[in-house]
Amino acid sequence: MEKEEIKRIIEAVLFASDRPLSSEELSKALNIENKFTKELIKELKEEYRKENRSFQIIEIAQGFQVCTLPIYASWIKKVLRREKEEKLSLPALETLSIIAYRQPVTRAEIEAIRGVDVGGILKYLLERGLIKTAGRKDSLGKPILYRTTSYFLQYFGLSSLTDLPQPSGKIRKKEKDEAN
Amino acid sequence: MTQSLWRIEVEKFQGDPYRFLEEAKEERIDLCNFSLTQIINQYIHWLSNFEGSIDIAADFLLLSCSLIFLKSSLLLPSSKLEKEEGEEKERKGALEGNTELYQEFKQLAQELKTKERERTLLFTRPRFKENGVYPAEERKEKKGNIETLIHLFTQLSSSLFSSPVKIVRERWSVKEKIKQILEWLGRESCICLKKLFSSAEHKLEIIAFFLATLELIRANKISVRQEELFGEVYLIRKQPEELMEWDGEGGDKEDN
Repeated sequence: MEKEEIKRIIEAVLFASDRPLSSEELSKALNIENKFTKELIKELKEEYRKENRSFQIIEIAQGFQVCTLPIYASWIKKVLRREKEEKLSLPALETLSIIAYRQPVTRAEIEAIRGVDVGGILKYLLERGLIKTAGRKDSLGKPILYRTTSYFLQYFGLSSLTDLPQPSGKIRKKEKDEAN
Repeated sequence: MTQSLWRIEVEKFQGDPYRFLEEAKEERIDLCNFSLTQIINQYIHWLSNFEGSIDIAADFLLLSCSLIFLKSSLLLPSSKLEKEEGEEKERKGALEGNTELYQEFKQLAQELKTKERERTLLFTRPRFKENGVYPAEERKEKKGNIETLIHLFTQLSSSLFSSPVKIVRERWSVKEKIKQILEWLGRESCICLKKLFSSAEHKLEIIAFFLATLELIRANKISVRQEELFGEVYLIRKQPEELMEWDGEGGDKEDN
């Protein structure tokens, strides 16, 4: 297969997909090197940019996905009337950020920081598919551990967890302590 | 959330409650010189007129509690032993440390909110409904086989049939209620729906009354009128000469 043909195949698959596709997934299907796939995607990105297309390829949830440019958002909303996804409340976002930076984390650990019960919020986040249980902690009572999901990355438009906003002060210090 | 709606208005301090908490924590102001009752009363007063988000109100509740805690920890140690004082200080330090940590997470939550907003501007191909919100890989983890399904079904069916089912005797029929309403309307020009319901002795009878009313409206025998929003509903007869000939077609026995 020629390079141009492979590039068009990748374009077609990305266009048709309703979820982010990893370069590994694409490489495996096309039987090509991962590096080559990434290179082709980069070329596609460049093409769209040069041709002033209304869509782009974004890196999200450790994969690639085709999406529209932000400037067209109001028009799309006007015409398509998509089912609106409920926005997260501030307490839910706070709980989620604690899970994101401290994962895997137990309910008690989250409550120690927030100072209030988070049972209801955890249930809600689980239902939304933003977090998942990740086994049990090897301590007294074997409490359940929580982690963020890859949908979490998609929801916030992050390519991976390292893409999260950089914490400062205490959170960072704790992270360093844990790494050592 | 740093912009507060509730303002503290006391003799020695005016303004942002968060600032007040900050000052108190850093011990730049002495909480012992403040009447917390007055401040909390202001909060309660503000709350009673407040019509905004519950999150904001809850934030202030947390703030008020922190103030009370700080003041109580200031007042209590004097009556305790030195060792306990140390513990108290440690506990206070831990609380402050946690509050600080929490403030940082609050900041991060705000940043995530921005990301959330930015993300809503990007449109991708919508997910198929059957996929739900869960990514495919995560759904795969929950594998099942026919044995577990059978096992679950036997478990479920045994629990379903073991508990006795209570059947309420049907003592009221819609047909009978239609007759009753019409008779009533024969005597009076209009009836209040509330009065009709209050004459019932069981929930099922109310339902029967209600269905009878609907049936009568459908058959164009009565009309209903409501003077104002959420006001009383009145039933008014339409053709007085035909009232007693009503045979109640479609007046099925109501079955809850």
